[in-house]
Amino acid sequence: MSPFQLHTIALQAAPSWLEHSLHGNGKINVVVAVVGLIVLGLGLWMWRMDLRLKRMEEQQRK
Amino acid sequence: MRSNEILTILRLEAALDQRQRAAWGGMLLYVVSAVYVAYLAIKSVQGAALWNALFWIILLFAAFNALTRSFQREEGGRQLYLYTLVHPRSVVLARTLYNAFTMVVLALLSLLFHSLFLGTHALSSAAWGSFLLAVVLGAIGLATVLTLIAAIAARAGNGLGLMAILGFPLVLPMLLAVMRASKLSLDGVAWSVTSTYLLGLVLLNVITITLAWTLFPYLWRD
Amino acid sequence: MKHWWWKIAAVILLLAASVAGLYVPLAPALVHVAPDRLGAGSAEILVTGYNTRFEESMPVRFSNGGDEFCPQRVVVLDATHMKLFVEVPVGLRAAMTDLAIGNLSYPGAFYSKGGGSGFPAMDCGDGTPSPTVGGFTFPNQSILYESIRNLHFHVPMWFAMIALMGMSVWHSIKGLSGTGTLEHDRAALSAVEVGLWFCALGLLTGSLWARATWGTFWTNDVKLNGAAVTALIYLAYLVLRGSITDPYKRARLASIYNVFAFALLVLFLFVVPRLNEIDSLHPGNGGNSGFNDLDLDNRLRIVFYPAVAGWVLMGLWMAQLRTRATRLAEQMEL
Repeated sequence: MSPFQLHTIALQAAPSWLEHSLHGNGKINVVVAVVGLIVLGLGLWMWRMDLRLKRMEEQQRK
Repeated sequence: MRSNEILTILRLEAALDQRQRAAWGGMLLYVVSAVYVAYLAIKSVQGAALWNALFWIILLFAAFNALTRSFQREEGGRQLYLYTLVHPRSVVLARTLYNAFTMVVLALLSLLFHSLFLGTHALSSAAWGSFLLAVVLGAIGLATVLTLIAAIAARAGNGLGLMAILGFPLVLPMLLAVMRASKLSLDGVAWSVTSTYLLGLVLLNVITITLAWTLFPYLWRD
Repeated sequence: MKHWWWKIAAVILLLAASVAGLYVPLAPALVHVAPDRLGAGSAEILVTGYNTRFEESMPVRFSNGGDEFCPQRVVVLDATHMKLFVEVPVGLRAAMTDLAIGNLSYPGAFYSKGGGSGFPAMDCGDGTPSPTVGGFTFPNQSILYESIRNLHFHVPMWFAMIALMGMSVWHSIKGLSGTGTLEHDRAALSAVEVGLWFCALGLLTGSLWARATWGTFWTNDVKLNGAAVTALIYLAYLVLRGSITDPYKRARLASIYNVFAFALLVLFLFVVPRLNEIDSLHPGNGGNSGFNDLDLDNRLRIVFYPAVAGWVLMGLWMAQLRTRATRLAEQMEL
């Protein structure tokens, strides 16, 4: 499917709540969501690392 | 690694397979039943795209089924015995060659059953030379990729399950290229177009064999 | 201790690239006209710009099949909205009409209701040259608009992932060919785990961006298939590790699989797409305009490359942390 066709499909489809929220403000909202996801991902990674270290600390105390 | 070592192992493989004809029968039965199920599900296939997809999917699963056992004979003592006799690179080259031969025979037989059950309508405008070449190269490709994977799965002490998980993503590049090439041949596209894909397949095969040849000795070291 | 300079570099690069990626303004562009259909007779058109500074002295030109005409009156509502009162000539061709305001152009802005065969050129005068919006800007592409900034956030995820997988293979090769098998194996495993994390982030951010740009979360695209296969390969790597208990055997088998898989993956990602002229929506594939063709590409590159370097270094840092944690854990259990 060519990009042009896809684009027209995207235009024809009724705007869902998602489209509404993503397309706002010159599509800057997509960038906000993407950056937010990346920060969340990094946070989750740190959280798991924290858990690993905590497990090791508890073992050391024993 | 010597060429007569490879020949000896090939002869050994052939002799072993002669003794276990049931294994070959099993592989054939697998292909026939898969094609028959496809026939029951969709009777006669008109479009070349579906015909092509069914053919390669069935062959893919047949390959997994057939090649899993290629290193499972070497459990325990026999592997140690082979190790003292021949260079591991001879083993992997011989196995790859033998598996490639097996897969080519299987692919051609599967092609026969496929045309018998699902109709030859899709083949009516095919460029036969490049189509057969694509089938043969694809069968060899499946064999070269899956031989090393079978060896790894056998060494990990896990059969078909692990083999499918490890092998499936690695077979994809080969499979996509070969499905494309055979689809183009079925559509009767000119040789100048399909030859690019076939050349790519040959290249993929060569690289895969080189990798297997390089890596296999590490696999056999204990 | 000078071993941590690259960690500082990672933070500085990421900071600079992220701030620039969010802060640099988009180049001005004409984004909307209403109505978007022209026919002979008088018309009143509302033009919407993005980051523009409209002024009434800007020359406005319509161009239809090589013939130009211009509006009779221009009213600037604000910096980004402008009203054009135009008498469209009778000879308007069926071709689409382009619009140019100052140095901004909007090719194919209007559909045509006309079927004429041209008209005499109109004398529009010169007008004063438009004030150029200066400074450093990102290209303003239709459909993308502000989301072009995702180039600096989504794409480096994949670069970091590939770099981590490459790092993992390097450790696997070292582990196979020499001493320190278990140490190298740990490093290879950590790199794969962090790489899969980046893969997940890349897939999530990518599908969100795809939804906003192409209207679907997932399309049959070479790059997307490559991402899926990469995820499958390295999940299989983890399954393989999980099914072996002896650490030395596990290290050896996993390393062999890693090297074999990475080589085939590189072929799949970089060679097979060139073999198949599959349609791709991503830049640089299947006849789509590539990254290189973007009209102001160097302005993107100057932010993009630091972002890639920063994320790669960040990934390596994360992998190193994991290796160290795993090493400690293994030592404590002994």
